Amino acid sequence: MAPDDRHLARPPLNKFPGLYVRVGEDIRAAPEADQSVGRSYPNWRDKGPNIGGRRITILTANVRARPNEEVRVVHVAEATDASAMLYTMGPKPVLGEYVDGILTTPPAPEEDPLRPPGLYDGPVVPGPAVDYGYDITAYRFTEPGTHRIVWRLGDLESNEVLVAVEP
Amino acid sequence: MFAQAVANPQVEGVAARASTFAPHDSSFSRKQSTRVENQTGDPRRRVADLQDGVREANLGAAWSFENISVFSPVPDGRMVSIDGGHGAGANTDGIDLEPSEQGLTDQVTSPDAGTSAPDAGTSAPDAGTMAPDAGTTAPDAGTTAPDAGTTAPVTAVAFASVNSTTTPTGMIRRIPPRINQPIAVNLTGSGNVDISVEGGSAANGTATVDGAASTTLAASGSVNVRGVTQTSPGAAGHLRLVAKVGAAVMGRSNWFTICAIPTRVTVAFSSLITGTSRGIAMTTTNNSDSGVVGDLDEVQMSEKVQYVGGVGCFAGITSGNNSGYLPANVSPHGVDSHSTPVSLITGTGSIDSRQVFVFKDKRSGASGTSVTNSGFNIHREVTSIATDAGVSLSITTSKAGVATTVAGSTASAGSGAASRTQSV
Repeated sequence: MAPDDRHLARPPLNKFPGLYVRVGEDIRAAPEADQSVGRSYPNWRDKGPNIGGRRITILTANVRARPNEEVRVVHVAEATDASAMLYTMGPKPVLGEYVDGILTTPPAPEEDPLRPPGLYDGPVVPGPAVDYGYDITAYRFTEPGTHRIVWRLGDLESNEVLVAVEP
Repeated sequence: MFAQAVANPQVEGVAARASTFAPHDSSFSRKQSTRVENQTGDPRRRVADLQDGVREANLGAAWSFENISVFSPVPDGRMVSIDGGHGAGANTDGIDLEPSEQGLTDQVTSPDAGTSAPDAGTSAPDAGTMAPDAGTTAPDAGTTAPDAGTTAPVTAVAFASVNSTTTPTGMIRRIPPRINQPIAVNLTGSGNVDISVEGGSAANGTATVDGAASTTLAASGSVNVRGVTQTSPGAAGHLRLVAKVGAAVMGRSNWFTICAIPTRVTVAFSSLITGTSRGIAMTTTNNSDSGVVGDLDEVQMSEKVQYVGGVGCFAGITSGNNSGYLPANVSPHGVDSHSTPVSLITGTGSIDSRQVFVFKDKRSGASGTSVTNSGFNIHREVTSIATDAGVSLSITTSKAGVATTVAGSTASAGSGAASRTQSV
């Protein structure tokens, strides 16, 4: 944990609320393997840069994979400043995710990048706070080599995850 | 090259079936233990033996067995209690436990004693404890026999269900701390009976009876059970009342847990939302049925929202959302935003948003349980007004308590309301 992440060790930020996924109309707890990845966020070394009291980060269980092995990406938004707000309803669709430079999801809105598009009815949480309420994306790489995953929301850009695919 | 897919969870099926629960005759008196098998083999799922045998024996008559506790396979190890009672009627096979924790069925068409109602354990004295257990509770004749010519000694003690009236359907039987719970006690025979709480510990929780570790009843009546120490996470369902004459057990209550839960959500207007959106921000507050919100330190609440009836500029909006779980032991719980992007307000229209709060509690193992009084409706109405400059739009955003169901979670109306109109 970096020195500026020490707030994550204090309640309530040290209480992981769990990850959830959509199954049809239902919303259920994500598989335990994904929960474990999400739970590691406070100690995740390579978080996205803090811009205006907010940052977004992507996490994967592994950075090595076999061809066609599923790589699942967990998304976390954090407000480090009390003036920054998080919209914690979800799981929200992931917008603005790029793999090898190609946009793989719908683009991110140009307005407040952390506010989900459309109607919103639910909590708005001021920082310091963490929002784990995003879909989990999954990719399978067929070509050996290094593949780059990054998540961009407006002026926010996540850390870059490099996945080494080895036969 | 890569292929993308939004991940779906692999949710293991959860099903368990009791071994055959055969009818038997009234001469049945030996202790019978029936083990419920866990088909998943998940070690987190601990299914208790059905203990203490069957008390009613005739085919077609009511039967009962000792309440059983079942750990469901979720990571927090929650546990449910299954009431051991069944009304009269043919019953020739076992019971099914289904993943919702609601589905204890007896494989006949009669109502499910354990769940869907009527709940023998909550709406009436627990069938499993009303009847004296000849095998375990016989009094010591040498110490309790009355003098010749007086009434018979106490032969049995039956407790009404130990369960707060604030416990939602589907939750294990529990009481909050700090609040007296009157429990009816029925004595068969006469004489003094000592009532105490069995299983109390720092982990299981502690409670008093009539303000003390034990109390004595000389006749049928009631006792006040009051939770003192809340049950720790993972230790649900290890407390029960016990009635003794000397060392002899005359009867026991159902298992119960001590934990506070939220039962009502109240909202109040906080501020207008302006800028690129229109709407209202509402402060959300929850109570605790113990009277102290701080008791909810192992409880978190989430919101479920579903859009319905969208017309005009809101036509086609039907999706729902859940919030993440947020701590329930802080007051206020938080602020809800009910906002509409200005870019979406292209003409007249209206839409409703149903909202229900649910909670999870690590002490009892409850998860996704509706807060009893937490239903709301958020209504958006966009109207147009002809002006000299043309047509102007305004939006009214209203929120009020209403009984509703969202994604399978049902709640009575929450408290509080607000409505504001803004030009667009």
